[in-house]
Parts: sequence; structure tokens; C-alpha cells
Amino acid sequence: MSLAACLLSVAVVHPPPGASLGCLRAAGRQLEILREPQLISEATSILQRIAAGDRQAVAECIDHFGGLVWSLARRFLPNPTDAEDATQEIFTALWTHAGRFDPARASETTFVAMIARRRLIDLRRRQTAARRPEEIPLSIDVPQDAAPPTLEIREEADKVRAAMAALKPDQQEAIKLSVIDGFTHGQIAKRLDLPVGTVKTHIRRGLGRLRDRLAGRGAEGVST
Amino acid sequence: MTSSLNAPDERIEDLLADRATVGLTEAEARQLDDLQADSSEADTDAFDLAAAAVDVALAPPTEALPAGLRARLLRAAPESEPPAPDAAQDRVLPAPARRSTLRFRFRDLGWFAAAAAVLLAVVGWWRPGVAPAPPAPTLAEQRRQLLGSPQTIRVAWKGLEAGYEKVEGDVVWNGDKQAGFMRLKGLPVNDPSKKQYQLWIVDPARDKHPIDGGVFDSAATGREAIVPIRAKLNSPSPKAFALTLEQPGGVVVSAGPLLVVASVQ
Repeated sequence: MSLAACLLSVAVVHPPPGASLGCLRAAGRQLEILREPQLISEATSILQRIAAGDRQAVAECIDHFGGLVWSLARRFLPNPTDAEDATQEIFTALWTHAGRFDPARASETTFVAMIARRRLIDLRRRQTAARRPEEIPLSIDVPQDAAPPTLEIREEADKVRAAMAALKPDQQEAIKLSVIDGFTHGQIAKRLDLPVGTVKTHIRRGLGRLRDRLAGRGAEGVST
Repeated sequence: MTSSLNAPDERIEDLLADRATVGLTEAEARQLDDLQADSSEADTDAFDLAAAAVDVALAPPTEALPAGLRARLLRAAPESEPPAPDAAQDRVLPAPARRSTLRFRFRDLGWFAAAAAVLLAVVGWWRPGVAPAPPAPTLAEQRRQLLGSPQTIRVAWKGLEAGYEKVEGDVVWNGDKQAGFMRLKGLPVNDPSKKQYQLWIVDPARDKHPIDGGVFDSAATGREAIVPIRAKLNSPSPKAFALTLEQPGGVVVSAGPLLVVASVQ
């Protein structure tokens, strides 16, 4: 049975007893489809205005990057209360470090995401150390849709995807599993059937190449 | 990343890549600080920025900021011009109380609490036209609400393994809202200390691996239960939902078997 047929017969039509997720995973590998990114819109210099003392820019910062920070927090932290607390901490850090934003090095959206990710990675590390079964909440909030992306953000996302596409497949996969899915090196090694050291090398070299390409340095000094 | 890197610089890049993806232990963070103090490596944010750019480009924000949280952030926002970076934290977050103030608070805590209770009661009684907050909707009400939304799908469970043939219910999922519920009846009771049920969402458009939908327990087979789905990743167009029994807390990769499946036709 082909992998695609496996998906059709196992997952969609009539799953037989004994079917496993491995079959579904394998089927999905053939049917992977590129997703259209949906990013929030980006202003030009909200953080610089905050650093300059513009009070109105603080509210604009919340409205402009709130969806991005909140979505990141929800992805990193399953507990909504933790995600709310983290969102407040992240915005506090943004207001504190707004003066560090340099438009020559990254877009505001990327800078905001960097500040958010650092805090969330730290929180997730602490929570993972004492992982327990997920509590089922008594109620959940039905989320509201995020704002649609602007042309500028779409263009930036295109640039990042192009830089990703230039990486080796193993590097792409390791970075996606680490950055997007939040897996540890050990989990990625298990998924990709690679030694942990190789996974770490793929991530380091892949991020290094991305760093150079996004900084306009092309492939200079890059080795595999 | 370049073949010309010396050992300390390569270690720095190792640590910077780790910080950008999985984070550092305190010992690793100290080591990074020490190495960077002796290194010419100037752009220490570059790996973090690259990871953030990938995140923003490939993982779309799925939710707008909740109105209540927006109000909370506005309350916590700086009142005036932002101060120098190192001092801003104190202006945004409550400063710790001095010892003398703390002693005063402990001594008068009872009086303060009583006065606050009276004040709240008076304000609550006096404010005209303010209705009490409505009770939070139940899971059943939330499920019904989601069923009324466009793009919501509903698929029935089908038991595959012995002992699961009589499982009834369905899965309701809305890919736009990234919200959903499982309705289950007849699911055998599990011992949470040994095994827990784990939901998997099969969405080839999102990921070649099934997405972890969270773990839960079945306490009674005779009653219908509604369980909210807490997908760890976005699933815009799932093709199937499956339940497995896994170790407490769930697993990253499951070997199955699939006990119950709900397939999208």
C-alpha cells in the first residue's frame, strides 16, 4: 500500500484495527503542503517612539504586536493563565528594551518575536522540568482571529522562506521542529532518526546560514 | 558555521544556537557570558533574530489579543515617558515593600481587609445599572456555539480496537478559530497513574507528523463527556482525529495502536 493510500484508507475512509500513527505520519510526509503565512501588520517605528518617550506608542505597541505575542505565548504555554502572565512580562521587557531595536538589523516584528521567544523559552524550560498531565480547563475562551498580514510582512516572510529553502533538507527540518514545534534536541533526534549531536549541528549551521542570508551576507563563509 | 572558527567561538555559536531554540541552563548562560567577554563575536542577538524571523514567517499568529488582557497591559503600561532601560522594570511592576511598611501592613491587615470588604460591598450596591458578570458558558454551550460558526466540521468517532467498539460521540473542530471539542461516551476508564488518553490530529497540510491534541482521562464509561481540544500546533484542515493510550503526560511520538478514530470524509 502506498503512503498516500495509507492515509486515505487508514485516516479518511475505513481505518482498520491495528493502524498506527506511523502509517499516518508516513502518509503525511508525501502530502505535505506549504502553508500561507498569516502575520500581523507592522508599523515602522513604534519601538523607537516608545524609546523616545511617546506615550501613545505604548498603546499602539499593544494593539500592533498583541496578537503576535499572545499567539506565541499560547503556543509555548498550554495554560492560559501562564500565557497571560508571560504576555505581560514580554510587553514589560519590550517597553524596557525598546531602545535596543535597530531597524538596520531586523524588522520590528522580528525584534518583538525575539524578545517574546527568549522569555517563553525560559518559561517553558522551567515548566518542562516538572511536566505533569495537562489539566483540562473547565472553560476555554473561543479565540478571535488575528489581524491579516500586510504586504510588507508578507514580503519579509517570503524572504525568510527563501532563505530556509536554501538550507539543506535536514537543516530545514531540524530548525522547523526546534523553532516552530518546540521540540528538544533529543525529541528531534528521535523523530529524524539522527544522533543528538548531528541535530545540534544541523540547527547551529542552519541558523548560521539564515543569519548570514537575512543579514545580506549571502552564503559567505558558509560550510555544511 | 565557518571552518575558520576557533574552539571558543564554535562553543559560543553552539550556545547561541541553543539559546535561540531550546534555552540555556544557568551554568550554560554563565559560560556564554564568560566566553563572550573574551571574544570578538559582536552580534550576539543574530541567532535569536534568525530563529524569530523563522517563527514569524512560518508560524502564523492565530489569535488576537483578548480584550481583557489588553486592558491589563494598558494598566501596566508606563504612565509617563519611559525611563532609562534598567529602571523601567520598577515603574511597570509594583516595587517591593520596605520592611517598615510591611510590618505596618501585617499589623493592620485585619482592619484593612474589613474596610476594603465594606467599601466593595457599598460600591457594588450603589453602582446603578451594573449587572453582575454572566456565568462562564459551559463546555456544552461553547461546543454548540462553535457548531454554529462557519467552517466548523463535525465527525463521528469509530472504535477500532477490542473494548472500544461501543465508543460513541464526535469531534467538533474549527480550523479558523483553532478550537474544538471531543464528545465521548463509552470510553473505557483509564488509570491516570499508569496510562492517559492522548488525542492526535492528523493534518498533512500542517505537518507530516500527527499533532498532539492533549491528554485526558476517562472516569466513567456510562456518562457522556465533553473535552476541549488543546492542540499544541495549528491545524487548519485536519483529516482525522485519533485516540491512543500513552504514559501519563503523553508522548511525543506514539506507536499506537489507534483505539478510536474520527475521519473527515
